This record gives sequence, C-alpha cells and structure tokens, in this order.
Amino acid sequence: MMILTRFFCLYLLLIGCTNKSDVASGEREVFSVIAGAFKRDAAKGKFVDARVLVTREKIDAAGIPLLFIELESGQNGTSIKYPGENTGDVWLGIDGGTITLKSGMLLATRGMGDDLMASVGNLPNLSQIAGELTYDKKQIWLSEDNKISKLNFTCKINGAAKPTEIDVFDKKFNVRRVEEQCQANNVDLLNLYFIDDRGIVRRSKQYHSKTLGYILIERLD
Amino acid sequence: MFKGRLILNSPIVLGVTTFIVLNASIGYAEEAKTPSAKTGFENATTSGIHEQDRTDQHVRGPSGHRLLSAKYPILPRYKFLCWIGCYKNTADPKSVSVSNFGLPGIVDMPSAQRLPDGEIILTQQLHEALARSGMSFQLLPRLGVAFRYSGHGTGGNEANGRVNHDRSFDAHLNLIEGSKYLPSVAIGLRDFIGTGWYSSEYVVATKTLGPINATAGLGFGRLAGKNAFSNPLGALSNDFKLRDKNEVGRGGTLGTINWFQGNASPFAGVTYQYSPHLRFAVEYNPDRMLREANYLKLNSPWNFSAQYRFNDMMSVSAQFLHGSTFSLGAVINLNPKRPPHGAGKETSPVPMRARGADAGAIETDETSLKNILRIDGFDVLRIQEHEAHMRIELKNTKYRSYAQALGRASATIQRFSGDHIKNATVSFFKKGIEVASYKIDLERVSWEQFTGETKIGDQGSISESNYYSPGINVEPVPKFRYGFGPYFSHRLFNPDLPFSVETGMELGVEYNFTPKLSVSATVRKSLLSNFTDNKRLGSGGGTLPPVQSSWGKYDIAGQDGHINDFTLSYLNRLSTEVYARGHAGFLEPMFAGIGGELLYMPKSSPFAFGVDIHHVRQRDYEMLFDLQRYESTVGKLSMYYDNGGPFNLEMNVGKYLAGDWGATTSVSRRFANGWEVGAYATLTDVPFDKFGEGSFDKGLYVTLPLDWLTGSPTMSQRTFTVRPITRDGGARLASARQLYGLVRDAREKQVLREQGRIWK
Repeated sequence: MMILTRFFCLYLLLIGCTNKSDVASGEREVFSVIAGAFKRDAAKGKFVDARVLVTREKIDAAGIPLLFIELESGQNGTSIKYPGENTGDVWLGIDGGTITLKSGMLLATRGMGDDLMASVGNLPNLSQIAGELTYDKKQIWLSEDNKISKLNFTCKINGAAKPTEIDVFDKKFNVRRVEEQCQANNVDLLNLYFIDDRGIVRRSKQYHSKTLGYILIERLD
Repeated sequence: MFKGRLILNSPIVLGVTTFIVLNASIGYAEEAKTPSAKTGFENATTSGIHEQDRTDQHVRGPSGHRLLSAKYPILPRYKFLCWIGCYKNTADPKSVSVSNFGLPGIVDMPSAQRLPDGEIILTQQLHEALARSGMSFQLLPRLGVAFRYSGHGTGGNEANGRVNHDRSFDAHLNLIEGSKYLPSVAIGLRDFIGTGWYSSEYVVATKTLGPINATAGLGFGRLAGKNAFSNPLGALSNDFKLRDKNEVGRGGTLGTINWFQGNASPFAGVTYQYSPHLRFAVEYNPDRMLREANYLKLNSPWNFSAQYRFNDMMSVSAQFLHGSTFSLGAVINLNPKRPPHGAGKETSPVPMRARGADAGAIETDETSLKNILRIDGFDVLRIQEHEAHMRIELKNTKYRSYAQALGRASATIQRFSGDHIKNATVSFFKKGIEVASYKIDLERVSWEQFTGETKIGDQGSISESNYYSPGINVEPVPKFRYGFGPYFSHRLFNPDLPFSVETGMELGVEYNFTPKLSVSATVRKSLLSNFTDNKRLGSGGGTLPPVQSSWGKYDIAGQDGHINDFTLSYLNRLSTEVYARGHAGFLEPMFAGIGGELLYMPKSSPFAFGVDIHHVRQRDYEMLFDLQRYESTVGKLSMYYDNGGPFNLEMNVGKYLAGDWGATTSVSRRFANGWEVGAYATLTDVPFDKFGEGSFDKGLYVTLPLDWLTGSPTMSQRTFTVRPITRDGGARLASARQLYGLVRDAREKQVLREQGRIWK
C-alpha cells in the first residue's frame, strides 16, 4: 500500500513537468488546467471584507478617489480610478476587474465573469435630473455561446425633490434620491441613485447581469 | 418510394448531402446574428431574467433569415431542411424525459418532445440481460441523433457473458411543436444504420398537461408487435403494406430502406413530474422482444420507471421492465450553450483611452505596450512603427478564442500607441509561422468597445489582412523544450473487452533549429494497462493489408516502452495564401515515412484547399526503430468549408493507406465557444464485404474546450473520437493534414463566430 501511495505521489509530482506548454501532452495540459481551476474554486468566496478593512480614517488619509463595490453575494472590494484619459470613467479593482461609469451610471464592466459588455443610449446626466425623463437604453451581455445578447429598455427616471441623508463609511452625505425604472418586454429593473449637492453619485444600486444581479456602488472619498 | 438500398458508394452523394444540410443550416446561423425588429432580447440565452428571449425567438420563427445563397448564389435554398434547422430550440432540458435509447421518450418508448438545441446526452442502462451505453446529440433544433453500443444477453462468450455487442444509430425529428391545443408530433428511426437489431420507426404525439406528459404513437418494424394492424400508410401506397426484409450485409450501412413499412402497433405512455427532482413514468410497449427471447422473460408489455434528477446535469432511474426485469439507468446532460462558468472570468482587458481633440497628446509607450501584452499571455515577437501605422507580431499563448485575443491586443495597442498611430496590424504566429493578420482602425474601435457594434470585415473597423512578413525569423525561446508526465489511452467496442485503458509516462522533447525547422520526439512507457487482455489481434474479417486493424499487436508489443513519434518538421508560409509543411521520421505509432502538405487559404474566404502526399512504411509492432515490409504512397486533395456559421465541411479525396481510393466527408457543428461535434464517413473502392464488419469507415468526434469547463482562459482543448469499427479500408495517416487545424482558429471566420467575445 505504501509503495502504491508513494508511486501515486511521485506520479502527481511528475504531472505537468514541462518547460513549455507546447510539448505538454494533452493529458498533462488537462491536469494542469483542471488543477488550476480547482485552486481558483477553492479560493472563491475567500475575500477580504472591505467593510472591515476600510475605515473613514484610511479613506481620508488615502486622498484619492475610491469606489466601494459590493455584489449581492456579499463579496466586496474597493476600486481606484484608472489613471489616464479613458473613454469612460474607469475604476480598477484589486482583482483586476474594471467598472466603467458615466456620471455614476453603470456603462460596462470587465473581469467580473458575466460582464455587462455595454450600456448604450441617451443616458441622462444624473446631477441635472429634475422631474421625470424618459429615454431608451440598450444593454449588452455575452450569451453562453459568445454571441451578443441585447436588451432594449425604455427607461423612466425620477428625481426626488426632498434631500435625504445617507451614511457612507461613517460620513454623512445630504443626497437626492433618483429612481430609474427600465422595462423591456416583461423585464423590469429598478436602479437607485443617491446624488450629493456636488453632483456626485454617492451611492447607487444598479442592475448588472443575471448572474450577479444588482451591485452596490458607493463613492468613498 | 422508400424501397431499395440507398446508393452510398459515391462520395459525391455524401458531399452534396452535407452541403445541402450545411446550406440549410445557415439560415439558422444567421438568425442569431440578425437583429430583431422587436424590442427585447436579440439572441438566445437560457433562464432567469433572460427568459423573455425565448418568447421572442418563438415569435420570430424562421422568417427573415439571410441565407447563404444570398451571398453565394451557387447554393440553392432548401426550404424544408431550413425549416428543420431554422426553428430555434430552447426547450428546458429538465422538462424533457430521455428514454433508454438516449432520445426524448418515456422508458423504452419514444415521445414527441425535443431536446434543447446542441444538447449532448450520455446514457447508461444496465440490467441482467443488457448493458447499453449511448451518446445523443441535438444536431439541429428539430433533429436529434443518437449512437448506442449495447451488450445483449446472458451466458454468452463475449465480455461479461453477453451474447453479442451491437452498435446502432437513431434519428428523431420533431414535426410539430406542441401548443395550448396541439400536441407535439415527431417521427423517428431506430437502428437505421447497422445490423438492425432494434430496426423500427415511429410516429408519435405528446401532449403536456401541467406535470403530465401523455404520449401515444404508432410503431413499425420491431415495434409492430402486440396488437398489430395493417399499415394505415398503405392507403397512400402499396409499398407500405409489406415490410421488405432487412438486408444488412456487413452492417454499418443504411441497409434495406424499409422505413414505415409493414404492420403497425400502437404504443402509449405517461410521465408525471411529481417534484422538480422526481419523475414517474409508465408505458405500454408493443415490442415482443423476439430477439431477446432466449434470455429475457416478457411477462408484460408494461414498463415502469422512477427517475431522480440531481441537477441540470445528471439523473438516475430505477425501472421495472417487461414484468420481469429490474433495470438501472443514468443520464448525463451537457450542452455547449450551458457553460458551467457562464461567459468565463479573466482579468479586465486594458481600457481604451480617449483619443482625438479632447485628449492630451500621447506618445507611444513601447515598454508598457510590451509589458502589458506579455502579462496578458502574448509573446511579443516584433513591434514596428511606420508613420501612422503600427505593426505588431504576437504569439497567443493564453486565449483559445482568437476573437478575444485580438480584442485584447487591440485595446492594449489603442491605449499605449501614440496619437499619431491611426491604425495597426496585429499578426498572430503559431509554430513559427504567421497564421493570420488583422488591420485595426484605432479611432473607430475606441468607441465600438462599448456599443456592441464592432464590425469585422472589409467595411469594419477590424478586417483580416493579407499582409505577412516573409522575412521575420524570430528565434524561439527556449530552443530546447521538454515535457514529462502521464498519458492516457483507451480502446472501445471490442466485444471481449468493450472498454480498455492504459496509462503510463510520456517524455516529449523538441529542438528548434530555426523557428520553422524542428525535431521532436515522444517516448512512452505503459505503467497500467489492460490492453494486453485483448485477444482479438486479427484483421477482423477484412482482406486488405492490416494497416490499421493490427493496432492490438502494437498495444501489446509496445508495453516495454516505445517511440510514439520522432520527426523532423518544417513549416512555412510561402505566400499570402499558401502554407506548407514537410515532415519525415516516425510520423505516428504505426507508420514511418516522409511527406508534406500544402494549404491554400485565401483571406476572408469560407473555402480552403489542400493537397498532401506521403510515402510511408509500416513500423514494427514494438514501435522502436524497425520497420515492416508494407509500404505505400498515399495522398489526398482536400476541400474545407467554414463560413463562420454552425456547420463546417471537409472533404478529402485520394489514396488511403491500404492502397484503396476514395473520399472522406466530415461534417461538424462548431459552437462559438469552441465546442465541436462532428461525424465523418469514408467510402473507398473497397467493397463492403471485403471491408469487413461495419462495411465502411466512419466515426464521431467531440471537441471540448477546457476554457468552457473551467471558466478561465486557456488554449487547451481535447478531442474525443468514437470509431465504431477500426478496419483497414479507408485508413488514413493521422498526421497527414495539420495545416488547416493550425491556421483556422486564428482566421476571420472563427473570429466572426466568436465576435461577441472580442471586447471581453
């Protein structure tokens, strides 16, 4: 039995022993890829809870624009502004994912799995919403077969006149609540935005995808 | 009308047939690309919030498709076949009960339901007198096909005491999709290629009433058993009244076309979905089980089943059959369109930067460009700038999807090239040769990445380029490469040993003299094997030189360690459209030789043409340095067709290893996530009876991309080939044609197929 166990261990050690994947046999490639997938699966769900790690003192001390993002699953993290002049307002997370916003509205994500590939339309400037506004918005995802999958929404946006107060990581903000209702066939979405008097969306809850559902975005700085 | 043997001795028949199916299927392919006039989803998705898409697809139906014939008028429209393919199948796999025969059904009897498009079903059924394994595939939304391998009987001389082992093929065609008032209606053929053990046909209707599916139908052939009556189709033609006797010859062909002839018997059944996981079924089976009479008691025509479904993927069932037999079954559902990890997860590509008047002046940052590309899995071979154009040569080592690789490379170039660079050419290299080049309009793609409107082609922002640089000679690093690890090998369909496996260690080495000239070798040593238990070492009844059927002798003699391959190879791109390869040495385990191939593959064309010629000599069974006496010169002319749609075609015409002349036709369905399911058939001038059992060479193959399985980018993919019979007629040199496979994944048609992934 011991011989068998040792043999098996040796066998495992030898698996994937190569200096270049081109000369790896199919079997070794498969082992290596699947072993990698197991490792990633094992690491899944293990994340540093930014709600514990990040404090108001640290945010203020950093002195840079920071975004807090939380998924429905509870997984969360912070993102910094992508340096340079980008085609949108791009934020980079520590896991290599990016979120692109336009005046606080979710335009696209990458590196999040079932990514929102694009959000296109005459998107309103949230800081200038007064009363009700109707517009069209097309959102794009990837189907399981790598095809473009689109939803053409008709959206209605309403800004509340009365300000309210929210708490973002121990800092109070006076904000105006804006509701965006979008409808495509029988699909209804409700996105919420809380905008401060400088026109910055301090908190929003926006639909991302069928896999991740709604995501919470908070502007920390 | 249905009488007589189908003439299948001409490869042209197969070629034309496949072209018809291919052409017919294009409408189906285009459906996914054609934007819907309706508001809502514009492409198929599966569940949850995307549920609405199904309704949309059903409303649209087959109309409005841009057929291939619009672009290539030489191809006519075949509306009937288009109808088979154009109907978008979005059935829920959980709602479809699968029979022991691997296609929609009750227990043994068929139903009129249909599986989701692309569904792959693996089935296993076991009872005292039967071991049945099967693989089914929903080839088109309305058309499902199945292959089975069954061991029958008890007390026999074959493996596990079976009396015989039998391979069979089925087809199931959904004619009418059920609605509120109408039932679903389907017809099907069982065991229509082969020895006809289960030879039968059916017409069946199924009505869904909440959790109950009620099915009734008429069976012909073997299913015309109890309560048989004269064929109602006899009113249409006297040909239907009497069933012609099956003449199957050496099996493996359509044999006698006596479909829907002779008497008919009614059958019926009900399935009841008790809970999301549990389903009960009862059926009336008119089959008298005459072939099984020696070892199976038929006490009752009623069969019962309880099926437990664990998840989307797996279910098991317990059955009580024929009033005498307990049976166990298992079904595995897979579908290329249901990846376990969705669209996959990778780090974000580099975001594109603002360009134009609003942005600050930016100079090219070549260091960052190279570094980011390297981090993203590209080997950067060369970067050149000339006025407003940047040319960059890359080797993609990470992304199976060249659409994704192209998009990521484009985004990185867009960000780190200077404002004066207006367009770029990205060239992809594989094994030292340039396999594809694309021209990118950097201004246009800046905005297209977030609009989903990127067009690939002559008028698009990204187009395939004819450009290649014959002068480039980038040295591979390192020049010497090695790999050491396990290998696995298997053999199927030996009646004495239906499934045999071997594992051992393999050492692979390669030395590159230049990027295009290399020597490589693989040696193997078996460690654990039951290949040695194989007692069938003959040629299986054929009278041709044993060029392939002697594989059993190689398996046994090679146990002490053998040289799997040892070749000197040369690869080159001779011009913008011509690729060349030459190789010599121990080309594969059973043959040594010298030869080469040429591939003509114009840019953006769906067609490619190839020619290959080899002089080979059979290797000794030990697979070391000795050769046997048998030698032959083989060669093929090949035609490849891929228009970026779901179906690909390959035809090879020429001389085979045993000296026979003929043609091989392969048709495959290629999914946009790398899955490929295909079948091939080889017909040569060897008569069916001289070929031996199976009549002619044929097989099925499935390619599984590992990025689909793991959700992370990798270039790895595995192909599983199932050959019901390995004989010498139509035997091919496996290493003869590799150029098309090397080049095609990087070319425009495949990039178009996966276009959605370009900015992922």
